[in-house]
Amino acid sequence: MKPEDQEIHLKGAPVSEGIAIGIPIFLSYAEDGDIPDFPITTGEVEGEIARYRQALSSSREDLKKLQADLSGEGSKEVASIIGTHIEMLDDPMMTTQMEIKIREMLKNTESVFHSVINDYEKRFSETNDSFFNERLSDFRDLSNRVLRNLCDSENISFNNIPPNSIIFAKELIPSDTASLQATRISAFVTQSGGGTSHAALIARAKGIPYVASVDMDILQNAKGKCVIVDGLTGDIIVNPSNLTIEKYERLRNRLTQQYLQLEKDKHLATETLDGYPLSLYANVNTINDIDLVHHHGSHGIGLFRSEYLFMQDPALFFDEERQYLIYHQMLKRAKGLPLTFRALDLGGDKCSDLFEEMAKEPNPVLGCRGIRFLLRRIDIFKTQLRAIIRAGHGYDLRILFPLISDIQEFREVKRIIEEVKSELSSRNILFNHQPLLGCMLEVPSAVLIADTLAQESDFLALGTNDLIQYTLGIDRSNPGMSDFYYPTHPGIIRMIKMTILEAKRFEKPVTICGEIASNPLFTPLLIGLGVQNFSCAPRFIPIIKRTVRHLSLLDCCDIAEHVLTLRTSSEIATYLAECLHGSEGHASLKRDAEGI
Amino acid sequence: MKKIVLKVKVKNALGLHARPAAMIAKLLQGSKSQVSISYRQETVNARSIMSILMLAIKKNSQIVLTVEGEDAEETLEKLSAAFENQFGEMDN
Repeated sequence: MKPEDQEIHLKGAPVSEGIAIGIPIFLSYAEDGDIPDFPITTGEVEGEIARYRQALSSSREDLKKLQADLSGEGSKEVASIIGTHIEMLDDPMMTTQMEIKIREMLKNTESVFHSVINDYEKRFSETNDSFFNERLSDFRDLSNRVLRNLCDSENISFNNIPPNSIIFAKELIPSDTASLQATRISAFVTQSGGGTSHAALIARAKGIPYVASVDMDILQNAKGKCVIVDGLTGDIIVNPSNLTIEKYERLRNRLTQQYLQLEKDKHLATETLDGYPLSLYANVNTINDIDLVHHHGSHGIGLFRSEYLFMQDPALFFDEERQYLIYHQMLKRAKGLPLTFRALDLGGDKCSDLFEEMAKEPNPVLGCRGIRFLLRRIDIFKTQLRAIIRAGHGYDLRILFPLISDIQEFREVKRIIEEVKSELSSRNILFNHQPLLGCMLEVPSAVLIADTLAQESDFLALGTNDLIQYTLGIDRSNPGMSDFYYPTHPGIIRMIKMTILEAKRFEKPVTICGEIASNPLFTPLLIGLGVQNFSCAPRFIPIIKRTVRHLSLLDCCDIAEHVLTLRTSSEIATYLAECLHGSEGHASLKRDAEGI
Repeated sequence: MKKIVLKVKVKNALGLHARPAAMIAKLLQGSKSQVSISYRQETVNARSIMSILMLAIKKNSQIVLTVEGEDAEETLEKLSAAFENQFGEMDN
């Protein structure tokens, strides 16, 4: 096979799910070198100013039209982003200030505008505040729009692109994303931008697959070739073989069917055929994920991985006020649904380069991580606890502590919380006096003392990903060892059973959080073992709900009983797959159970 | 022509972010006065949302409002009332 005939596989960050098969269109925006820059005479000033006003007014018209279209489509949130842009166009900084600058600098409008905008951008990014930094992308978007109207270059009009196009760009400008006709664009692939950008929000609202963090330079040779984009996994395949195309076409059709079905079920109760109710919670990493929780009809947030907020923004560790504001926003957006904050779970693979406590550990996964780190860095721990319980005033607040392996650690946590409470009381600051406190069971020792932990805490959460890793002694981040990673190991099943029984004995709820909670293959087994609370990534909620609605509690108990008699992980895996195939609606569940 | 200077404290939880800044600009549409906001040795036009944003004024900051014009008193009254009720963001 000639090298150019080969499939090229790339992996990016999945942003908006869906599968697309199409032809790439490369977008490029004006970069510094492309802006015309020349002096003008005083006689030409008025002409330049008139040209600038014209560009502003065209931009305003574009935006107003876009806003009207979007409101018509019901994309209210996006329409309000555009509204902000229109207001910014009328700002004196954009109008009178610019005109003064043109007169002062005696240069063509494009170059004056470009230098003014660069100054503003610099100022914005210097404020070093995530709130203001978010505005920066709005600002860039707006200035690019004005610049394009000024330069009037041969910019690609999104209305003229061929059907089935996959848009490749360094960065997507939100208002461009909004002006796209979803019928012609099949996917977006970008180098920068991520899950929380406006472009991501718009892509999700329109159901367009989007993969970010892909190196555009590598993709240059994809010009004119067929490309497959999988927005669920982040896979990009350039020049796929016919076999691969067929596989993805089948998958795409199945997903469309499944999606239509799941949308119909969204409002239905999460209960088995025989009316046994279950709770489906969401695992979230960012504030914006909370909107998905409502969209998918979840019962609340079972796990908020708070450390994700800090990864991009280490200054936040010591900034109680800013943490408070973020947590408060989250609770507000949760609209009364329970929200479980997991205290910072650092170490292992997360943020290990930031703190000397975990610097150069020979074996980080067995080192200073989870609760161990928090108990060593009481300053960071207390800052977060203060922010959480203050923000939780008047809300259904739950706090979960990671990697508890001994009851002593949890008692220490409770003592620290009491200290934090009395400090706040003495300063007359309002806070939630009775947050529910839970232990995360991720190491075998915690499962073996589940009775003690259940007695002394308000709830338990089983983090099965780490539990499997620590129980089987297998590094889950090592792809070379993945054939020894057995989620269906009888030992794991017994641990889950044991935890559930002990928790029931002391009447404490247990939530199951790991990947097995989002895999329909495990759903009947878990229900049969007595699991009542599932917590998984929002996108899996519809599929788990659908699975639950096709199961009966009695069958689940039979399945669990039989599984407990099986002796090997492969027997269990085979049996669970058979059960799933036997249940109704299995065709649409297959992909999620088996991957692809 | 009247010129009044007033020190006010920003009480909004999020500081002077886009929404309050837009409210200030809107509130000043009916006014004939020149209004500026000073914060940490910088003075900007209060009608410019973007300039206000760039000051990145956080909760509990002291800022100085300068109002100059025939309706200065009336304008300042409206402005300080808006600051006082935290631009309608008192929800907790």
